[in-house]
Amino acid sequence: MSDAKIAVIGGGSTGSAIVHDLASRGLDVTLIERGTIGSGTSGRFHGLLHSGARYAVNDPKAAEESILDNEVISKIAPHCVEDTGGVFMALKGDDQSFADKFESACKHAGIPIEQIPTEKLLQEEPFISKDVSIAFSVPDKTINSFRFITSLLLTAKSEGAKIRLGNEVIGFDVEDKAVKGVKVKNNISGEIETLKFDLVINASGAWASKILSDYLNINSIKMVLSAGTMVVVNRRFAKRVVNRLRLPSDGDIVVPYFTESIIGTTSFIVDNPDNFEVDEDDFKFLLAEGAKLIPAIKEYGMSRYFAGVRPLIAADEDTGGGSRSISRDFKIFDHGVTDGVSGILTIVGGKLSTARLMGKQISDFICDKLGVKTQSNTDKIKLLWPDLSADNLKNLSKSLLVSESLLKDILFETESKTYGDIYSPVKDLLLSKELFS
Amino acid sequence: MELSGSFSANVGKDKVVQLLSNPNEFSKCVPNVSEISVNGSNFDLRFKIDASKYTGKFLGASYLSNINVKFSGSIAYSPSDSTISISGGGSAVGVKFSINISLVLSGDNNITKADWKSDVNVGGFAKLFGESMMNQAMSENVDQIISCIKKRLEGSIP
Repeated sequence: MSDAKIAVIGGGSTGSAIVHDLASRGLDVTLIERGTIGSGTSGRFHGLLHSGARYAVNDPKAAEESILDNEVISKIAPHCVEDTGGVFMALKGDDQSFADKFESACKHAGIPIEQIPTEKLLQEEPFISKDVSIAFSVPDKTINSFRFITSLLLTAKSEGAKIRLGNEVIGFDVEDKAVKGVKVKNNISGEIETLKFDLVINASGAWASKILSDYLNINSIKMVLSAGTMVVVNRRFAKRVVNRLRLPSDGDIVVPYFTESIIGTTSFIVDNPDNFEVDEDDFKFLLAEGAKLIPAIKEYGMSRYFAGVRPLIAADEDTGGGSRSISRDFKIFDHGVTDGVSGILTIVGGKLSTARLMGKQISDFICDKLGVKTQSNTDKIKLLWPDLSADNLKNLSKSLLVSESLLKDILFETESKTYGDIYSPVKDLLLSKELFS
Repeated sequence: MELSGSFSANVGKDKVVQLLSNPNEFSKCVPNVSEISVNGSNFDLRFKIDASKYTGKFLGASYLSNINVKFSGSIAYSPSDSTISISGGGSAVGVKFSINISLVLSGDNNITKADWKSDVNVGGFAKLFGESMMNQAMSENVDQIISCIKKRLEGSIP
């Protein structure tokens, strides 16, 4: 077993999955995240746990990876996933010939797919447009990313990982062209300290190239930032995720997210992931596109919107063997090879649906480097999500400095109510606060 | 970026002017138009481009295989010099662009030649995708539109 100290920068789905994987193999790992849970891209997406069907035609490899981890994540984190199912539907006037290509591509990628008679679909989903001409069901699901990441980190913490939320990277400790540590600022106390590490993994997503450029003068990663707006309607119309049956495009999905519907998405290039403007024209566009799938959306209008930033990485850059495209979706850069600065790796790309796989891939890469033979078994470890009972209520109350009686009132008041009421974001928040203590 | 070319169609000049100076007709040769609104000589278009071979150079860009394009423009015909001018601007993936096209028509009652020149400002895209890829994309899309116009003029497509 190695006694190397490893830092992971970025507490989104990728960084959290890496921390869990490394900690589960007995490695000394610390997460450094400047914000709170879900403050980056992982907290600003459409909530979909992909079946992969969306990419089956134009990116079969990404589709295969998505369906594999769709099933794994559903098993290891059932408390985060709602098995909504998904439907891909064409409307009258759409290219009906796409259906055959789509069905065959899904089967080829190993995605379970079945054509649904339109009358049956309309009976089961009465809000769907009566203009539906062809429909297929696929195993799309939705995932609560806040709960997923909290759960990953609670599990990693139980495996010995150190979790530093609210800690921002403000520099690196570099000696002889090797990264030896990370300089961090605690955004709550203002305290600055330099933490020593043998290896740093930059998993900060849309911020990855900025961190490298600002603090290490590394500019080898060609990254384009693509933002996407999502519009939320204050009503759930369908049990299933509803997708338009065509090549992926703007405004072609309506995701049922607990008691709301999320219509997504658009794509526009931005320079700064922390500061960009959203085109308000996109709200009208998304509502109009969503209403083609579910006409009742027109009557409700938008209750709120949000936008997230996805990094796009040039796939064919020659980095002299220092990077590898592990999949069609993500890439690992070893800066010791690409930039002559050792002790730091960057992983970029991917989506939440393949986060666990990315965590495994980079952890395999690291263990290989460190001579650690332990294999990953994150596909089997059920993620922690404590049931709250009289026993752990006492401990939770102590660690959160909240009185037991108040906790009881907050957590148990939702018994005997509807599903929409039982979902308690308060419980999610309280358990995430455990990570600060 | 400047592109130019010419084409001939076996129809009279009037028919060419009729097709090219009417946004409702001209837009039928723009691929995958999802919305069009016309107000006199001004028009707004929303259409899609199959961008998979251009965005394919980026990892994780599968969702960008079909890009939505917004374009607002105007068309004018000057009979004195038989020139049709189309100009306007738009955006795609949040990147702005502008286009100016002029077509000079010549010929007799049965054959019309159109010499066209376009000046396209796609600086933002060139930065993203590279100059040579943008040149390729523009050439391919323009070829497709010109080919469609010719076929529509000669009646081989409606």
